[in-house]
Amino acid sequence: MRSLLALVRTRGDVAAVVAGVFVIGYICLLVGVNYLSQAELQESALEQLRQDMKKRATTVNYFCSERKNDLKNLAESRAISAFFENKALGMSMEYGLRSSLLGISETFDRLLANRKIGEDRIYTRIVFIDTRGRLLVDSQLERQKGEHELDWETFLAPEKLGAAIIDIHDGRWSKVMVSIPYLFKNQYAGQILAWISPKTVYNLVEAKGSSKRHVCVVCAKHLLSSPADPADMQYGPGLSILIDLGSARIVKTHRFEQVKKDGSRVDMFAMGIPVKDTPLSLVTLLPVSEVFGHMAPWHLPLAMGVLAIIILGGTAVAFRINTQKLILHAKLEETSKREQEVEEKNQKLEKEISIRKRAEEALCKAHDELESRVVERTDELLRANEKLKMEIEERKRAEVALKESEERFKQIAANAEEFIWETDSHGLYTYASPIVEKILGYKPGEIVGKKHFYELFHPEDRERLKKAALEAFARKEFFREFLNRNIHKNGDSVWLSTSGVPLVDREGRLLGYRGADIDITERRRAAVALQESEEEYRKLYEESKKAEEVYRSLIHSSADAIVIYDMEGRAKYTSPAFTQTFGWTMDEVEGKKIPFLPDSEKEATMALINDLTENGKPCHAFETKRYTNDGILLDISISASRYDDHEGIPAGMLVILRDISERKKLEAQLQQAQKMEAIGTLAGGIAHDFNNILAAIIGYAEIASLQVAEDDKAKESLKEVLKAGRRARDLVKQILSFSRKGEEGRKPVHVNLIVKEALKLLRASLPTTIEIRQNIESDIGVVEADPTQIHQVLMNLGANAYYAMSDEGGILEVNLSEIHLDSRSASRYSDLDPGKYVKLTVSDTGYGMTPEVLERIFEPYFTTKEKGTGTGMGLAVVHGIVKGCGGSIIVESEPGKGTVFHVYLPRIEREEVKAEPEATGPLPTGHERILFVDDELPLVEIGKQILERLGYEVTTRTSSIEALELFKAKPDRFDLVITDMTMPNMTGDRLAKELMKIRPDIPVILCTGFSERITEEKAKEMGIRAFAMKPIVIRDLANTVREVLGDPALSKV
Amino acid sequence: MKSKKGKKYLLCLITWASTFAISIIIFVAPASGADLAEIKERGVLRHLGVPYANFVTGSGDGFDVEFVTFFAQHLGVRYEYVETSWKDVIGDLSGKKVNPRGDGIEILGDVPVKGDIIANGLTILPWRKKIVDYSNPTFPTQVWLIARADSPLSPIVPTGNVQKDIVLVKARLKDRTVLCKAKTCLDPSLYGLKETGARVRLFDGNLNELAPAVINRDAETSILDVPDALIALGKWPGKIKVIGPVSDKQEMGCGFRKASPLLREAFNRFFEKCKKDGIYVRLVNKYYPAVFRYYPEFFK
Repeated sequence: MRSLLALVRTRGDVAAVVAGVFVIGYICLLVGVNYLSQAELQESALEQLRQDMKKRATTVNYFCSERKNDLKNLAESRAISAFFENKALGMSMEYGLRSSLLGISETFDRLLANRKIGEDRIYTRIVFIDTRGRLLVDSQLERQKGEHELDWETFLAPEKLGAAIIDIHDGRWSKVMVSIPYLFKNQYAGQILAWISPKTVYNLVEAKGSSKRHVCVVCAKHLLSSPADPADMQYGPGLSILIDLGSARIVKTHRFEQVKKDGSRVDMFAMGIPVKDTPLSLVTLLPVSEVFGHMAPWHLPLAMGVLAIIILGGTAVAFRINTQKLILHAKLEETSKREQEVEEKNQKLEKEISIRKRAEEALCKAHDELESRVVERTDELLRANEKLKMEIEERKRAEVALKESEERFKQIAANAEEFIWETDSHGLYTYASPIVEKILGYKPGEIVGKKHFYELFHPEDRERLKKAALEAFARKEFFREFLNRNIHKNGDSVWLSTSGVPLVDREGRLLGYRGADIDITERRRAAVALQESEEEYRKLYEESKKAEEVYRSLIHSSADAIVIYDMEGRAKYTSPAFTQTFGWTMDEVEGKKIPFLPDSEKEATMALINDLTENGKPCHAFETKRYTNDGILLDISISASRYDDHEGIPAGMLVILRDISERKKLEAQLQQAQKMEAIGTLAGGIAHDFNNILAAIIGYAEIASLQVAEDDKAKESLKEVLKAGRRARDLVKQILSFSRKGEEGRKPVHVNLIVKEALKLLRASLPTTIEIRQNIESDIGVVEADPTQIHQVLMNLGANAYYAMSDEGGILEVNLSEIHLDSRSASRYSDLDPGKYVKLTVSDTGYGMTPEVLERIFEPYFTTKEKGTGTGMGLAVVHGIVKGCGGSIIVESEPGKGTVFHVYLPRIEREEVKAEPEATGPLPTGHERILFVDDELPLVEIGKQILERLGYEVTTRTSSIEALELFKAKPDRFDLVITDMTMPNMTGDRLAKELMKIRPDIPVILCTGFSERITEEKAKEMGIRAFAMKPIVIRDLANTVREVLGDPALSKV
Repeated sequence: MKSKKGKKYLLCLITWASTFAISIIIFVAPASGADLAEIKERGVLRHLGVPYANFVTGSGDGFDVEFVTFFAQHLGVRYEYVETSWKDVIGDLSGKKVNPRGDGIEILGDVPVKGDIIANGLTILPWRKKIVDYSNPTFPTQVWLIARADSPLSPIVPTGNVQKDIVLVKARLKDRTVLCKAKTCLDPSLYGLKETGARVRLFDGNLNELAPAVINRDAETSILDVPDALIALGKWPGKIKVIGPVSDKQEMGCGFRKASPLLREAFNRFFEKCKKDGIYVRLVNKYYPAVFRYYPEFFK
């Protein structure tokens, strides 16, 4: 204290005291603030813990929300609704419904597999319970050990809407689940439950790190998940406090003393927080020290205060000590500096002394050495003299050996095949072996000392080679196999391969060169020839490659299939056209026999192959058949030849195959068309004659009809005869139309009338073993058609039915009705629009048709009948007629069950169908004079009788020439000329022309049976007044004659 | 003495007849048919397949495609798929074009042989057995009647007896159109459908189109075999319903030429091995997982 006061008294220390007081005050302030902040820290640590727990609770809450969403999505899945839809349809588990459960099971399995946190699955089991409490689907395959069977009915919760987190506890285990009711069409249909793995929940909240903190999950008064035994809770009040905090459902804390297993006591802090919308709560347990630290708030500030005081006092003492030390230190430094300087000077002096001593010693040494050297040198000279004498002796011996060696060398050089030489440093020959005369033509004496080596080079190469050689000389280089062209004495070029080594003296100066030349002239010539030969061969190869490419391209581009075979008949090559035609690729058939030969062609093919391989006889355009790889049989034309290898040995066969199936088909069609044309021509010819016959029948029938009384029974018979005659006339017209493609005569017709008529004809034609049933509605609309064609349809269908029942008889049924097809019905038929139709159904009880035949029945020329019994055109014609009318034909058939044809014809709006005019009413007559010409006598007589009956004066002739002569004699004798068209010597149209030349106003009527020579229009252009179709009926003739002659003196019979 | 002579004569006759018969079999059999040795020499096994349900999906996989591929690997040969049709499949295997007539067949002619094994859900039928040899059964099946979901036809309530169930189904068929496919396992004559008064329509399309035809109202009902019905129920849930069975339980197998007994035996051995290894069950589970629930006894 006294010293302190002494210190204070001095002026220099006042400032220090003031500073000290200030520091003390500052320290006190710090201590106070520190205390306050410690208290705050503890409070915030608690708040932080609370916030942390809230975050964890939020995490768990979010997790649970996600689980509820999972189940909502599951409840809306298609798989579950599909099951209930199928169930609602009445399906049973045995037949179809069970498979729907598979979909639900798969959906559950997917959810189980996909929902994971890290590698851990969230769900351990998912089930579907139906309304009766039965397990419908269970993702768990086997029950776990110790697990009891649950009462599923307790889980049904139809009244709860939406998913919920629930818990179950069986005394030992606690489990948390998500549950959602399932509604199908707003009706409760069951419950879906999903078990949540406790481990995944725990992992969400687990306190990680080295802290002694534990977080537990409590579910409705049961510990759901936790570390094994946190803080030894089984000892002391810890566990019950934990459960209480978890059950409180509010944020609550508790501090207590926990007794551990080893008997020690620990101050513990617990906080519980509920998880919203779940039965779960989180409880955290941790030592109090982890929250609030090990010290009370005042501990630290106190320690800080004491420390501050100690530090201050120490600082003051240290300050004083330091000051004294500093002064002492400065003085010591100065002294040591001076000592160092003296030391340096002493060292310098010592160095100089030692250098001088060394120099003196070296001088003495050198003097001694010099003396000993003089003595040595004298001894050396004496020894050298002795040595010289010995060398002279040796040299003499060496000269002798050298001479012998030179002699040996000369002999070798003279006998060697190579030209051995030596030159000086300028290239002048100093030695040449005798062989030089053979190689270059010069004797050795002609070049040694006289010629330089480069003078023998070929003039074209001389300058270049000389320069190169002299450069090499300058560099004293070895050279080996240096090729050079020289000139022989006789002027020929000689190629040499030269090798040489430089000759140098001891100083390395060039004395010259020594070497050997090999004559390579012949070898070079051979090399050049070989190169030329190789070049030629390469050109030939290139050309042959190009030719091969061209040939390959030709083969590739050929439209015909090409196959190259070996002599055993195995394919070596097939062209792309082969693959296109037959289907096999080259890889598939290479090295094999192509399996496309039908059995029927084997014999002919083998004969051809034998001829080809053994005799080399080629074949051209050999027509045969082959299969494609998908079983289709093609008509093929083959050309084949044998080829030999370069040694003339047969190596294989080249075969070209051309697909002529199309040509054959066309040929067949052409033949058929020609046949049809011939038939048409024949038909035309026959029709013409037939028309004439019909003319007689109809004519005489008409005459007879006129001659009998109205009430005579024969009148009806004659009417039938006339009707049949007219029908025959129409049929002939049809035949001619078919053969000459004449116009169709379509008009509105009552199909029922035609069907009835055709049925009469059928009844007359078919045997009695075939029963005909008909159901023809009377009130049927009309269709736009050719009546004869409709007749044809029924006749052809009837003929087919007859053929199908010809063996055992049967029933032919014909139905005719009117139907209306709406859009739905019409959609079944690709070629029918909605509307009204007349439906004709023709069915039989014959042997029916297989589907394969059914597919083809409408194809022209297709028939299942034996050859000669059917043309295959009947149903094709029917099909053509029906289609031509805008209708459709459908056939149903089954083998053994018969066939049904349905013909649909579009019905047109009802209109008056003009019936054929019956022959009633008075016939027009006259008194004019008519010339009637026809080469057929019966027709002339009929015509005369009919016209005379009508009151005309008739002159007849059966020759057109005679008729012309008659007319020429007196042109105005006649008022009208009626002439046939087809007559010998002069046809009717020519006769008319001649008659009109004589008298232009003479009316002419031309009678024809559908001649192609002249049409009605053409006839009228010529001036012919009227055209009459044979066979002529009396009424048509009467009307035509009256029309042509005009009105005056018209009187009726 | 007489009886000894007679026995000797009989023995000669039997020997001669056997030799003759074997010669017929060897020399008359189709030249292009092949048994196991020839297939191994050729290096390829040709699988005749018709795209149908999940047996041959048509896109390169299917139950039978995978199975026969494994079989080819087992034989050490290459696998080759040869597409055919129901109409041609028997001919493509046997080399004979046939027409079924009841339980028998009518041979119409020869056609080229294109394959070595038929595997595409081929139901074992008596008429087929006349022309091909079957492997051991590879798959269970049955024929069900299906209808559109909104059809007035309602599914039967099973009685627990298949025969009674069939009677119940058939009783509902009068005047109903039923789609069938001739010359296949869905041939109406096999199940006496015409006698029920149903209006049988033979379908022109392929078997995969039967269910869509019913959905599109081309017919009121159709018969399908169970594998195809399960596929259809999965593809069009809520659009069709199963009324009930028209047949008893059936089985499917793979078809082999009569002249390929060794190949058939090799297949049967391979099939047993696959059942033991679990390959077979794995394949069934891949393509027809629902079938286990209907025919568990077949897979035991």
